[in-house]
Amino acid sequence: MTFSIRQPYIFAKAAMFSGRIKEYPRKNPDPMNLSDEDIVDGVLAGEKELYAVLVERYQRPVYNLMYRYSHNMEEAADLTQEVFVRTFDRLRSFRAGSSFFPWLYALAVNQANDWSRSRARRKARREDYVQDAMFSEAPADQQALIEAKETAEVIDRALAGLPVETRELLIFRYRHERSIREAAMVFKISESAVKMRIKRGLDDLQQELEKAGFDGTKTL
Amino acid sequence: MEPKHFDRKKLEQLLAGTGEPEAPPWLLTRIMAQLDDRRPSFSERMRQWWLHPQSVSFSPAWLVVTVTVAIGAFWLGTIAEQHPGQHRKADFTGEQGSAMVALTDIAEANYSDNLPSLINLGHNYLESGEYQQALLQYEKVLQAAPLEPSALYNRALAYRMLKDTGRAEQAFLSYLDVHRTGKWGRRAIEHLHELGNFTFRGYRIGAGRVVLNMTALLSPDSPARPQELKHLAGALSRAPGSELHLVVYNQGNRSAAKATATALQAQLTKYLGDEHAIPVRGSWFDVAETFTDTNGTDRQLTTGLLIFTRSLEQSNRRNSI
Repeated sequence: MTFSIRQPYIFAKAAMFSGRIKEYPRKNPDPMNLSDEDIVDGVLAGEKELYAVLVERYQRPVYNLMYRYSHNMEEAADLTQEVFVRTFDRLRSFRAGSSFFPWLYALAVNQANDWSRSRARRKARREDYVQDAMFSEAPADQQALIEAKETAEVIDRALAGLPVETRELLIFRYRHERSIREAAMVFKISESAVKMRIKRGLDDLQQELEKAGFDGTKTL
Repeated sequence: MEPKHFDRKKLEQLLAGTGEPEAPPWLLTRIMAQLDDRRPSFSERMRQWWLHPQSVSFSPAWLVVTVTVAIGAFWLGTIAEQHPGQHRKADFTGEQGSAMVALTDIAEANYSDNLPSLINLGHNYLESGEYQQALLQYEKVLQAAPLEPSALYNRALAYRMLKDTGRAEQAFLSYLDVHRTGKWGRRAIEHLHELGNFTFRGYRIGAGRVVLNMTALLSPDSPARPQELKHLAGALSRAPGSELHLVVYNQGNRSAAKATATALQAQLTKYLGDEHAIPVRGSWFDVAETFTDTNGTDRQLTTGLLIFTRSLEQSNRRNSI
């Protein structure tokens, strides 16, 4: 017969009351239904495996961001891995109440910029990127598939012609459907500057597409 | 293809509608594997240790034994506190006199058990100029521990401060009989030389220095002579590759000087044995020995002994010349 005493439990409770740690809702049956913030709380409470849900949710945008910088699949995978590991290390500095993805994306953009500064930029292999592109939303028929692929190729080519910051700002704003405020936080510029750059970016993108003879109505 | 215009809203929809390639399917596994492989940092481990609930398991038998031992230890401690064995704590916060009295009470309770207290008390008396009291304490110490070095030395010092040169001399000799090394050995010889006593002298043997009782070495019947020769032989064993020179002075008596030198040479060779065969050369003179003592004063001794070593290399060179 043995007795057990749970000794420093009070410390954990005190930390939870102080707001440093929130109690993770353990009764939730499916982690995929949890919000990003709940998952962060769970990871901080010791449920490390929950971090896989966050990785699964956001590895695609981070990987693509890294690919746009590195133009190399292996390099992009390595950089993505590094971003998620660093993010895991810094989870404690994630402020409760804010949105996880912009915070993660800001770290990823920083990482990409650091990488870009520290290494000689490799020759663009945009064609590979387009060829490797796969679509998560499968078109209903072959014709739609071809059209969607063509559209993506044209958009990607046009985006590649823009300055890096503008390109990333447009992608973050429209492809990831994020607010002006979040964009300002990620790219560390004012909201008015975000609006201005987006406007100019769209103008430039439109010019690029028109130069390419793209008919925007075709796939819409 | 002809360029065609489309409005801004459509352009935004177009941007939002184009997808991105999927990340490699193995990336998730790789990231999680790297997280699993990493050992948490020290601060993280400490944080987890403090914040996470910890369980302690114990059996009733273990609990009973532990509690019994703890109560037993407490009980023994209480008994020891009630019967402290005549020890009382000294109050050193008051006047020096009351502290001395307290120290005396402690020290005198049991000499053999309170040697450090007695020695400390002697030191306090010595420092405060109460030399007789200091002597009393040091004598008590030496009754219990006759070889106690600080009591032996400070007893001599107390006599010296009291200008009792005869007893000071004897006390320094007693000290040097058993303690010859280190700073206090050198100081004791200095004091003796100041007092005109050259019983003990320091000799350089090889790279080291040895203090010997010269009087005992020069006296064939002295019971201390074999011990001194052993000291010398021990010092010589640490000076390989050299030869020893023994020079005996006896003013006006050459034959006595020769007899002493020859006897010392023979006895020392015997103590050295075959294992440490170091050449021992003897010399004798019928004049007084002139030397500079440890205080830098030139001295003359009608009977004296000079001991020194030379490297064999130096000696051979001289022979070949």
